[in-house]
Order: sequence, then C-alpha cells, then structure tokens
Amino acid sequence: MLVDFSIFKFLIELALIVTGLSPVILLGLLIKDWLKGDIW
Amino acid sequence: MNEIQLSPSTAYLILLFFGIGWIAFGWWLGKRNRTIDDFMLAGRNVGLALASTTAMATWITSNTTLVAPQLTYQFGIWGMVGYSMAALGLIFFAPMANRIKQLMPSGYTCGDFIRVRYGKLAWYVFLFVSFFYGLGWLVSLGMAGGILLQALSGLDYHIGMTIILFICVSYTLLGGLKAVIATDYIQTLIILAGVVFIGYVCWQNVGLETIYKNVSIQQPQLLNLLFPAAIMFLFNNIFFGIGEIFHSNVWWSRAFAFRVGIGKRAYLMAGLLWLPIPIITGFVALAANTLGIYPSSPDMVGPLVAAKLLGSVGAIFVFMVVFSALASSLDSLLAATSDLLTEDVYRGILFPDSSQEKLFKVSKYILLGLGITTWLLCLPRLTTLGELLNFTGAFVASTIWPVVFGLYRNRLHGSYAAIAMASGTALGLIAYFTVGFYVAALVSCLVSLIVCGIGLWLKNADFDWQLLKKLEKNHVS
Amino acid sequence: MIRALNIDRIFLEPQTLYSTYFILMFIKNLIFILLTLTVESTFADKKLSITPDISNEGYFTLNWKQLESFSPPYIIQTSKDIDFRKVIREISTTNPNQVHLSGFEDGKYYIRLLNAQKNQITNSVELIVKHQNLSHAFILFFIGLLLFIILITLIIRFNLGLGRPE
Repeated sequence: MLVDFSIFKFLIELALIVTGLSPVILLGLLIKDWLKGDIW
Repeated sequence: MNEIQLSPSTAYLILLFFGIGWIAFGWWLGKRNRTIDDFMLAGRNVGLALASTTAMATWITSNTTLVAPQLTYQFGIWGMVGYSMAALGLIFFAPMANRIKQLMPSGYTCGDFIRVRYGKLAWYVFLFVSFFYGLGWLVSLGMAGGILLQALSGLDYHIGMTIILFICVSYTLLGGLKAVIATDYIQTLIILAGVVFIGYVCWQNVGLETIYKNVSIQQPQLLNLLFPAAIMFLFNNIFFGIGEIFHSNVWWSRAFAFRVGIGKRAYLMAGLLWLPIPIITGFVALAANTLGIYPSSPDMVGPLVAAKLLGSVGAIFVFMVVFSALASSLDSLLAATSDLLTEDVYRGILFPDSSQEKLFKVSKYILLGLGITTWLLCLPRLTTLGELLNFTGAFVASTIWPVVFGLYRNRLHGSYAAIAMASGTALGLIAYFTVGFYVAALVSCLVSLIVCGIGLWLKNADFDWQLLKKLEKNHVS
Repeated sequence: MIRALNIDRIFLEPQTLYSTYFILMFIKNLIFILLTLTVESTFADKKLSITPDISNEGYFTLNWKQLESFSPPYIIQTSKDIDFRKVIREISTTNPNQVHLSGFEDGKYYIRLLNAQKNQITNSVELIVKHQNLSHAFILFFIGLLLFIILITLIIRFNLGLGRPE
C-alpha cells in the first residue's frame, strides 16, 4: 500500500513550513520575554 | 567520503570559534551564580522562550540529524514518521512538568521525587536505571562526537572527542544550567537554520515529484505504508522515547528550573516544533538514489545528500549542525547527571547534612569528575559501550508507570513501584536477547503496568503530598 | 553462460535414444558445472559478498575487495534470473568497495558487479528478501497501541481530575 503522492507532498511541505517558522517563533518569544524582563 | 569532508583546518577553525564563544558566554553567565539553585536550576525562574528552546535542543541529538536519514533510507516513510513520534515524549511530559513544579517547589532531581514518594528501595532501583541510562547516553554522545567529527572532517577520533567534551564540560562548569540553556538557544537556531536550508534546497532542486517517482521505481518498499518491520518497531521505539523523557533528570531538572506555569507550554511547544525535524532530515535521504548517491554505509546518507546539493557549503552546514546537536545534548546530560550524583548520592546517601554552600562547591567537582570519567570511557572507542544505549529501552520503559502513578495517585506503594521497575527491566532485557531489540521496551512497559496495576489493587499507600513540598527524608509507608 | 545442448534434432532408435539422452544430459551438466566453477574460480579472489544474504527489511550491504585491476565507476546489476537475462536494476557507483542498498520487495535476487565497460568482474551473489510477517508486526503494533491509549487516557484523566480531591 504505497503512500499517496499528495499525502507525501503535504507531510514534507508542512514540515518545511513549520521548521522554517520555528526560528521566527522562538526569536519572537525571546524578544517578548526580554521586553518584559522575563527571560529568567 | 571526501565530498562530505571539510579539511581538518576548517574543522579546527569552526570548533575554535564556537568553543571560545560558548566558553566565554558560560563564564559570563556563571559570574552571577551564587547558590546551588542558580548553578543546578538556573534560579528556578526560566521564561518560555529559553524553556521551549532548551527542551527542543536537548532532544535534538546527532541521531536526529544522522540516524533519521538512515532510518528513512532503510524503512522509508515509516522511518521518518516513526522517528518523529519521539516528540510524543516531550508532549506527554508537558502537563507532568507543571505537576512536578507544583508538587515539589524545592525539589532538585527526579531522585528526590522517587525517594520521598516511594522510599529507599524504589529509589535505589530508580537510581540504578538512571545512572545506567545517563552514563550510556553520555558515552555514546562522547563517542559519536569523535566518530562524526572524524567522518566529516578527517579530524582524529581522540582529538575530536576530546575537544567536544572539553568545550561542553568547560562552559557547563563555568555557567551551570544557565550556560546550558543559553547555549541551547543559539544551538537550536543553528540547527533549525541548517536543517531548513538543506531541506529547502532538496525540495527546490530535486523536487518531490521526481523523488517520489524514482523511489517508487527503484526502492518501492520505502513508500509502503505496510512496511512490516517498521510497523513492528514503531511502538517499541515510541515507548523507549517516552521512558527516556519520563525518568531522566535531564527533563525533571528543567521542570524545576522553569518558572511556575511555564513547564507545560514549553514542553508542548518544544514537542510540536521538534516533530517535523526528523521528517525533513529524513526526506533528504529519499533523494539519494535520484542524485546518484549510493552510500557505502547508511548512516552517512544525510551528509552525502547535503554535500551533493550544496557542495562544500553543505559540508560546513552539516558539520555545524551536527556539532550543535551534540553539544546541546552533551551539556544537558553532564549537568543533569552530575546533579543526580550531587543531590542523590552525595547528599542523599553519603553526607545528608551537607550545607547548600558545600553542595554548590561539591557539584562543580562532581561535574568535572563526570566529564573526566566520560572522556576515559570514550578513549578506547569501544563501540559495544555505545551500543549499550540500545538496550536501555528495557530499563527506561519500566519507569513510565511508576512515574505517572506516582505523580497523580497517592495509592501506589513504593514496594510495587520498585518491583515494577525491576521486573520490567529484567523481563525487557530477556526479551531483548531472546526475541529482539524491537520488543524490549514494549515488554518492559507491559510488565511494569501489570505490576503497578496489581499494586494499586492490593495496597493503598495513602501518600501525603505535603511530604514532597517539604522534601522529607522519611516517607509514610 | 552455457546454453543447453539442443538434443531434439538427434534421431535414433527409441531405446538407444533414451540412453543417449541421459548420457548427453550428463555430459551437458558436467560441462555446465565445470564452466561455472571456472568462472567462479576466476572471480574467487575478487569476491563480492553480501550482508545479510537473507534480509527481513529489504536492505543490505554489498562488499567487494581486491579489484586493483578495475577502478571505479562500477556497475551493480540486480536480476531475478540467475543468468541476468532480465536486469531489473542497474546502478553506477564510484564507491571503492562497499554500498548499502535498500527498499527491495520480497523475492530472490542475484547481484553482480561489472566494470564501466559492462564486463563482469566479480562473482554473483544471491539475496533473499523476506519481509517480516505482517500479522506478527500487527500483533506488536496493536499491543503497543493499546498501551499507548492507556497512557494517553490516564494522563488526560489525571490532569483533568487534578481539581478534585483524592
């Protein structure tokens, strides 16, 4: 039962998008914590 | 192999640049460490950004970047999806992190919890499991450092291994958990940037349609959703990962270190952001045959594809990503294992009346000693020592239910927790050697659940949660 | 590869035909065995080996040594026929002595190494791919799934019930 191409494509492209956005999310969180004086 | 290699001088430069940077950073952060709470637990007030990233970074090891492609090359879709399921350990631990912080505001280690909640017998069994796993992971990481740096740059194994251990021990010693967490943040960004870049270039230059078409012709099994071996191994590996996270002080120390209420969000975010990483590092392996790459050994398929797509720049990226992944896990493991030795062995068993100031000093010596011991064990490059990580699945999976029932139900008695861990480990090991590695964690988990179930039915410990708040040495039996 | 002797065109008396048939078959097989041994012994010191030769996962490592007179690139041919009549996969590699291949389906395969001019330069090896029994796999899968569901259910229930007293 081969995986369908559309599922294959969706999985990988979603992974690329999420991982591509991760540094942005994490940097944003750090800036937010820093502005609140809440880093640690 | 030459195409994936940097010159040793480039490798030295990268190691020197990062090494000096991180050691200097660790020294600067450590200047404000005054107490053992600062050193071991970063002041117990870490915010969401650093908390999420440190959880992510620590769970990204060199395996995530090198074994995920290997497993995808061998098991296809299930290889990468199965590997990414290791994120479930982080996700399930999320609510438990809050519970841990709430139950034990003055706790230091998972050993503290097991000792107070279950008593001495369970504590000794648990420490045995923890140290076996912790030391096994430390040695396998140390060796991986030497082996990988050699494969990626020709640097001699002993030199590469020594340099990595020296850098990690130094900044962890100087800065404590603050240095670990802060460097984790930078290392995560490096890893994410490298992984995304290589994944994007593969997606753009090779194309998913081409990859899918070629794999379905040349390696059709890799797209098979009913790949028998992969289905067989799936839950064993999932429970191996869950057991690793639920029991290990690497994750408990973070639960204590994060600010109140942060633990759940941090672990959840870390798990969700970690999940796609093995998918990307895995899918590049499917492009291998399309690119005319037929690796001589499967663990090099990732770097080979990266080098083919990006040339020498690819080799530099891979080197930096692998180095960051190694360092971000090594520093956490060094810190967490030395915390266990300090709090549970030095204070818990040997010198119970030690003052906080004394412990602060001792913890640094213990960390240094642990680093040296790891280095000595890595010197002979005994790969069998590295492989012993494989059967820690039987050990760690047995701790899942005692930890879960221990945190949420006061009914389970310590003796049954001890028996659950011991019998789960024993039968898991028997299964490992008689049937195969792919049943060890599953058997261990099942046996442990049955014993815990019997214990819950037969005896009510009626444990007083207040004891954890006060961290009493004696518990009510 | 020796072809079978064509004996259909020999016309003799039935009994003589019968015994002649067997004599000729015997000679044919003897020549075949001698030729194979000669071919193998020619390649004996240029050994292609395979690990494992029975694969439960469809992947394996091919190893070849002592090919000083032949330099890369090499061509690796895979066939389901012992005489490589129909080659199902042919790849070219510059690896000096080892390659790891994967993704094979169930079946018996023969693999050999050729040089760039497509001359055979090693012995051929036999590979049997026999994937794990799917029903065994599903048994372990469902045991794992059951434990997994128990774990999720308990964690969710325990966390939802935290507000209530023990």
